Parts: sequence; C-alpha cells; structure tokens
Amino acid sequence: MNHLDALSTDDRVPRRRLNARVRNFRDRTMVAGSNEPLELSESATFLWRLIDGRRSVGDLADALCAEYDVDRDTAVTDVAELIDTLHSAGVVDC
Amino acid sequence: MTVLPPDRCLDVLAEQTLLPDRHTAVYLAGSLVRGWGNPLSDLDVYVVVPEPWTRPDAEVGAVSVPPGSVPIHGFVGEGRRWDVEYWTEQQVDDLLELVSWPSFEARRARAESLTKHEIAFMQRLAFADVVTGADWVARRKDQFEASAVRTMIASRALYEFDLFAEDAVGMLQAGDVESAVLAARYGFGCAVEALLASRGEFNEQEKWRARRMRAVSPPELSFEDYWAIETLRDLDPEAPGTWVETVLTVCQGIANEVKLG
Repeated sequence: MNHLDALSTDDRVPRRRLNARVRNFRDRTMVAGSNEPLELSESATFLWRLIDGRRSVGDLADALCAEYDVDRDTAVTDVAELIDTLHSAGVVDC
Repeated sequence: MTVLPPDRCLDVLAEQTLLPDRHTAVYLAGSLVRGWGNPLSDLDVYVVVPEPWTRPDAEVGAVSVPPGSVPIHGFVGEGRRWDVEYWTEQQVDDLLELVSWPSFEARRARAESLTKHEIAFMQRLAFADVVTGADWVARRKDQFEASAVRTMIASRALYEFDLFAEDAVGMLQAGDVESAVLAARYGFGCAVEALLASRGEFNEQEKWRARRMRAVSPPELSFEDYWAIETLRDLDPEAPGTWVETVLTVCQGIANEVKLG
C-alpha cells in the first residue's frame, strides 16, 4: 500500500507541526516548515485550519464536501494529496 | 476632554514655559486618557510644532526619523508627573511615510526600525484627548489607521513567535523542558501581540496586554484562556512538556487568524 492508498483509507490523522509557520497576507495564505514556503489555495486553507491532530483524512474530506460542491471520492483524494504535500513541506505530521 | 480641561492644560504648560508660541496641536494620551490610569500614573502630553522647539534642559527620546530624537520635558503639575513630547510636523510626515504601504511593500522599513517612542506616538494618537488642533489630530489619526503600521508590527510579532516556537520544539526534543516552557511562554506573548496589533492594539509595554485583550476581546482567544496561559495557571510541574505543546497549539491557532495587509 503506497502513501496515498494509506491516506485514502481515511484513518490517517494529520497534525500540524508545532513549529509550522503561517501567514495570511491579504487573500493569500502561506505555510512553511523547514523547506520553501507553500502557498495554499482557498480550499487548502480551509482544510489547513481544520487540521488539529483529531480529525482524520475522512473527517477532513467530509468537511470539504460540506463546504464545497465536490463528491466524496474526489474529496478524499484531494485531502490525501494535500496532506502529502503538506507533509513534504514539513508542516504536517501524519 | 476628560482628563483635564483644555484651558487648564494650556495654562499649566505655559506656567512651565513649555508651550511654544506656535503649535499645531496639543493632546493628552496614555493610560489616563484610556481610563487605565491609577493615582501614580504619568500624564503623557504631545505637542506638535511647525518647527523644532526645545529647551536646554530637555531629555531626548530616540526616533528613527530625522533628526533622530524628540525633546521630552518632565515636571510635576496638578498632582502628577507630566511627560511632554515635542514632535515637528515634518517628523510626523516622515513617520507616516515610513509606515506607508509603499514603504512596507518595498521593504524600506520594518517594525524593528521603529523606536518605542514612535510606536507609542502612533498608538496614542488613536486615543488622543485633544486640547488644540482637533482637525490636525483627526486627519493624522485617519492617515495612520490607513497605513501599514498594524501589519508591520503584527508581522514582527509573528516572526518572533516563529523563533520561539522553533526554540521550544527543539528544546523539548533535547529534553530541556524548563527552557521550552519559557520559550513557549514568550512565544505566546508574541502571538497575542500579533493578534492585537492586527486589530489596531499595539503597544510596547507588556503590562497593558491584559487591558488590551479586554479592549479588543478577540473571538479567537477568550480572555479566560488568554489569562490562564499568561499566568501559567495550568502548568503542571509534573508534565511541563504537555503544557508547552498545548500553548504552541494555541499560538498556532492564533497565527492562523492573524490577517496581514
């Protein structure tokens, strides 16, 4: 099972790293760990704010479905990809 | 006018030979004006003048705008100490340019380059108790409110929080829990300052943080939660690491809510 497959099972619980940096400048949100800053899209910003070490990928996908017009399979995939990106950026553990 | 009648204020300054013949504005500021004063509080007075004015016995306050200082005269009158700062119109213009959006966006100025006298000047102008020059004060107040000063100061506070958070995490990893507690505590102060500054409440004096928290009452952080961390109420000596992680999580939640720009 690869990383994305593992995430799509909905049981991963991402947590923001305590030293992750965040800036909201005008309509842009940037996060940064030890790597280059990453600019988040509107939906990614929505999810970033929900990542709390308690919500699973499935929970986040449910929240994404409730907020945006997106089917659940797509939401799970999108959340999994985002978590993977945030993990690579060094701002999320999962 | 609530602290002192305008005429009485001008009379006292004149009696002390501290009222220039030409002055653009005179206003009272500080804790007394905000209703935060006590019987021992100083009365802070600002006199804006069209050209430099001072006396040989003046103290000086450092500023970044030319010529690098403002004269300050202190005396006791009306039962309390008065601190009177004299700013020229040009210095105010220069400070306004320094904290303008073009200046901020071009990185010509950062909050670090502002002195405590400049930050106090800008903060106190927002709550000025005008003696004379109401139009000038109102115009300048609007100009500073529209400037980048809030974002500049909030950005600096977030940067300082980032450093403390990085330290705290590293210290926990190294088992240096006591240092991590202090780093988290200082970092929390920075995060709160960033939140308050973004809402227009910036002040170099930490002693007013609780007052400013009550004034802003940010929905993102209740006063009770703020006060619990500020006073280390929930710090368990047997599990300080847990407290550090909790505080950093709260701080990160605050940072998520700080809007710059």
